[in-house]
Amino acid sequence: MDIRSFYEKHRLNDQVARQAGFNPYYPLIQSALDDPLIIDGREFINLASNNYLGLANDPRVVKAAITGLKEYGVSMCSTPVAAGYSELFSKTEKALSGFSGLAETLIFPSCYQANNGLFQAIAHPEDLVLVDRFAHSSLLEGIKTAGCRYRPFRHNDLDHLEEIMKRSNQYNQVFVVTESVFSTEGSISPFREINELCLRHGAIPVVDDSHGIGVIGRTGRGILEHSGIRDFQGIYTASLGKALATAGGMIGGKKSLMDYLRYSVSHLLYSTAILPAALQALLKVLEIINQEFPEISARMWKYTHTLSGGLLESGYTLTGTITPIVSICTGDPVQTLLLSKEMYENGILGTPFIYPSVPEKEGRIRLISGANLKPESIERAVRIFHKIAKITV
Amino acid sequence: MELFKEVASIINRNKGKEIEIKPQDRLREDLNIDSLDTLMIGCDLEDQFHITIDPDEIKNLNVVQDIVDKLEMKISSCQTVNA
Repeated sequence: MDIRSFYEKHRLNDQVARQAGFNPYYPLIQSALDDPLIIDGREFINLASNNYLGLANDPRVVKAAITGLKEYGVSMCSTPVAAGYSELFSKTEKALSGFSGLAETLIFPSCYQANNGLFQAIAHPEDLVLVDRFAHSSLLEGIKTAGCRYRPFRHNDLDHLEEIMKRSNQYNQVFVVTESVFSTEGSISPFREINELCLRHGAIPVVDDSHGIGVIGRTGRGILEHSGIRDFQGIYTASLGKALATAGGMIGGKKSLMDYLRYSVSHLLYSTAILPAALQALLKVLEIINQEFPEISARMWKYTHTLSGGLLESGYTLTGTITPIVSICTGDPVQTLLLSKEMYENGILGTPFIYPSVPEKEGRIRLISGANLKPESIERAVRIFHKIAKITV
Repeated sequence: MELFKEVASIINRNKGKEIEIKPQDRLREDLNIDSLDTLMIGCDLEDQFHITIDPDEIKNLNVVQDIVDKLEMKISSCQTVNA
């Protein structure tokens, strides 16, 4: 292939965006996650961020980040294994372990890296990974690169999962991989039952709690608290950039495995350590959740119910209403972007998912009502959705 | 025809639907089947017909009849080997 052909081959296919007359991706944000959010000089109601508890621009968290910055500088300019593992890093790992109910935790620069790197270190060609059909791309991509056999099971379908497990005796080790709260559907995994199935069949459960940590469980500690699981024998991963409002990702579990992973996951070993400001901010976020979760989460849920109720009344089809993820079913990619365009023109930012992130005609627009929003913003969003429903539903 | 019915039933089971499937239905455009659905369908066919299907063999198929043809070929090659 010559140079010209190479560049011709690697061109963005923006046919869908051209058909819809709108590209909703990479909006240029001109403010912090405030209410309103500023894009292109205009005010927006932000229903796109995963800032569930609204702590990303909380003055106490910002102040903590500045403290981290002053104490350790901008970066440790090193991987954790070399000179990037500060006392603050270690303290934050311990705080996360305590918060999530895990024996030990590792912190990665992102959850994508954590999920991607995990399987390369633990899954081998003679192993089988069973993965929920709606699991996140970071998990699937990680599994694919591990070189083991993998097989999706139907979404949250315990019978299908067990049926496959019973047929899988020929593998050395079976892993069962799922999310806690599914990021596009807003459904919750029956994880207590999955964990029990794993214990019964000698499989290792792996759960990504990115949309559960800080959101579900009586005190916001995520899927293990939500499922009543103590002394978890599996592997736990989560993003620290959603309800926990900072950056990075984590892998947690038994101490012996974490000791092994510290020295065997390339994505941790060869990535510059997460920035100290993010770690210090994370400690403050955990402290705030420990003290204020009931009030903050009540606000988030109130907004979620107001929004989902209003959408249903206006005739939208939603995937479900049991988590703070409210996803509108929008059909094919062009229909999805057309609704997204109407929202944008009326000052609402959501997250559209189109093929190949979801099947061809199963487009979604995800809406998350963070606790930092004003009640009147949610009410206005409901009125706007009612107005544009006449055009789009 | 029997094989087609089995394939249609496996597609419906994996999509959680009960729709009428025709041999010339396009997998992606008409039936909403993506790469993971294809993999699940392939695995179910393996279980049901005791054959082995490499995911690469089915990832670029276009219509339902292509799956049936592939399955027919697999089954007949297995019978030849076992004869």
